[in-house]
Amino acid sequence: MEFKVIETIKPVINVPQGVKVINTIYYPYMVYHIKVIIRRALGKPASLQGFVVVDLARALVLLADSFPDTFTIKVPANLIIPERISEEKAVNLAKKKMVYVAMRKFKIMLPPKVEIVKCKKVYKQFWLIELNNKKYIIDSLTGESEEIEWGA
Amino acid sequence: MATVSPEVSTTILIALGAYLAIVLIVGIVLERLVKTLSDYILGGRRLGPYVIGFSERASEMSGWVGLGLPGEGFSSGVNATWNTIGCFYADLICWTLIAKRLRRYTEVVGALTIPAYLEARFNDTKGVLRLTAAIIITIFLTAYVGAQFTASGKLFAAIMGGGAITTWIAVGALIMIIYTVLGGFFAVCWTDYIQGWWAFIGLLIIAAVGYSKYGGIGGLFSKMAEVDPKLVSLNNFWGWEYSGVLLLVIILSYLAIGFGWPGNVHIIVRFMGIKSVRDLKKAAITAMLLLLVVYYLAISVGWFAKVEFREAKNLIVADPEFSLQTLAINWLPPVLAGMVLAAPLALMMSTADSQLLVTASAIVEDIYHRFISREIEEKKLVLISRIVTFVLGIIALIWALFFGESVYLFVLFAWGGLGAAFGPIMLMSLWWRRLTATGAFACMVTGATGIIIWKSYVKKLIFPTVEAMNANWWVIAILLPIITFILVLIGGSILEGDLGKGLKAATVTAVVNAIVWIPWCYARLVADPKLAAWWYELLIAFPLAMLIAYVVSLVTTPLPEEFVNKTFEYMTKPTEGEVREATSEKPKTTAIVTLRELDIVKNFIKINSLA
Repeated sequence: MEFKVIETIKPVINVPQGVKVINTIYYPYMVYHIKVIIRRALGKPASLQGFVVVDLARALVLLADSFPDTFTIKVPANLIIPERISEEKAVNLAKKKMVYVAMRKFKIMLPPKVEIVKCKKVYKQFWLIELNNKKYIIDSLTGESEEIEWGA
Repeated sequence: MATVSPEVSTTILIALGAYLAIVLIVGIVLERLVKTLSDYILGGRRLGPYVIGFSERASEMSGWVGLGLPGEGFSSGVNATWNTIGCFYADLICWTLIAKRLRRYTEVVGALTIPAYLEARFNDTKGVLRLTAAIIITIFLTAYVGAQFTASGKLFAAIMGGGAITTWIAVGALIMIIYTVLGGFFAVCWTDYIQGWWAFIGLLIIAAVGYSKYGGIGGLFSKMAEVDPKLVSLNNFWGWEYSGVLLLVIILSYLAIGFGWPGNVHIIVRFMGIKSVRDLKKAAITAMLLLLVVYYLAISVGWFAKVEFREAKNLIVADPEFSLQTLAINWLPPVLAGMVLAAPLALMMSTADSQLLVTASAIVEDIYHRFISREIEEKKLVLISRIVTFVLGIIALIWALFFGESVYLFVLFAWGGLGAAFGPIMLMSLWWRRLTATGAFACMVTGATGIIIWKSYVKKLIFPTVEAMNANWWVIAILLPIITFILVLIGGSILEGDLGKGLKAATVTAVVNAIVWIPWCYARLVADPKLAAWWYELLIAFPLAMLIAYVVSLVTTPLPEEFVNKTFEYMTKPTEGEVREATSEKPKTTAIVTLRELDIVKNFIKINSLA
């Protein structure tokens, strides 16, 4: 079996005692700390910084407020959800998001400079558990759960 | 007619130019001195509640406050205050019913614009709501910009002592478009803030001179009664006296101005930028107190002008909206007059350029990027934004030349369009769980179409004479049901993913529209056959759009219960930022928690037989 070393976001919730975890699924994200430098005809450039999260499985882009706390773990590769977009595309999406944010805060007429201050690929855990002969998946950050109805 | 000598005109123009230069220089200097510049730019997120309140107020202090309200005070006397009452209760509703929930929800889903909010709220993966909202915003905000162009044209006409108003509107528009482009190059954020304060001080100066001249508010009212008893009569609107049903309709029309508040995106969007939900109460009180003071000052400027000059023909230009300019030029030394006149001009410029840039961003972000090209470089993005800004400026100029005669009515058109299209769904989407995407769509198109049809009717665009309008009132009456039927059939079918359901939604929309709209059109003909009174279209368009949203939602597919539960949880539960603020905790996670990936994970488990 192939294994991969990945950075995983620290779970916020705990699996209740006595609950059997069948598998842990890993969901891929890229987190970027981006700086947008707005050039101006007069005066020093202004800048705007922010955190952007790109969902690599669905190509969704969201603003975040910081980098998540993570830990390193070695996991079977078949438990990692495949990425649908490349990291190159993800970085473009993230940059664009911050430029949009900047365009709403500043009156921009000269193309801004966009810098990636820091970036990290992180994985969020989803637990596949069994409880009372039913199977559920649980989000390790929100505790949100859903029953898997098609059975084993 | 009061006249302006060439020497005074020159002095005023120099003072005006000097003012704009000073604002720019002060902006640049402040920017270098103040370390928290970036904090300021972040939409007031780290500023105190009082500044946030001021900022919210400054966003709607445009040509409306500098020209429209004084003109209204001049014409309608004490009845101009109905306007303030309408705006006051509406602002209160926005702060109490919209601000907190919208702030929380948009933070969680990462929406930056109202179209993006609607897309997320209704899980509209096809983007129908986003596209429709962006188009409506573009139409009405561009008209809003046109109103600023008209206002600036009137200001220049006053300073230069008359001349063709259309020429001055074109001059004003040109200056504003240049200002917008320059503003973009300099990106000096402090200027808007300084200009807001200076406009307030300008009104204060004129009011101080006026009240000292007429012996306070008691003296002013006595003089108004002496000059023209109608000014202190509750039956007088725009110089005509009304009674009975017509008087009631006019008063309700004034109160209905407030209906526009929850839908005017450039105001609502400010709530999304507030940092602390805890400070909302203080910010709301500041904003509403300012509303009362600024509106009162602006209206009283019109009262002073009426008492001083009696008739509109005695003003610099024969138009009540020239009250402020005429008083400034007659009461103040030329240099100070120039500075006071610069205040409304500055407000118009900052309002116009903000609205132009917001509209351009809506087109580029909500339409171009969402529907035409997702692959776009930052450089191209800014270039497209610049082109769109310029094109919108030209369209706004055409609007201005077309509607040129009254800033007041022009602003009310744009205000009404945004209010009727977005007001009901902003309120309902934050409080009513059963509202559906198709219901929201039907609401938007009913509100926007109703306002456009009504304005076309009143402006005699469809029928050129009052007689023809009266005889053919039914044409206007059936237009709204027909147009909304077609639009909802298309939009509803896409949103519902089923032609039959789209047809059902369209039929319900058309029937409800016909039941309400046709009697309204008929009533106007019977009660006011000469079309003499002012019937504000928002008075009918807002409740009608709300009713449509309600009824259509009941006959269309509801959103999944789990999704709605989550949505309302985001709106009502304190966000992570709020919790941290209260407990000073270190952030545990990022906004990742907001994505709904459970379906992807379930699918992955199923495909790989991991369960």
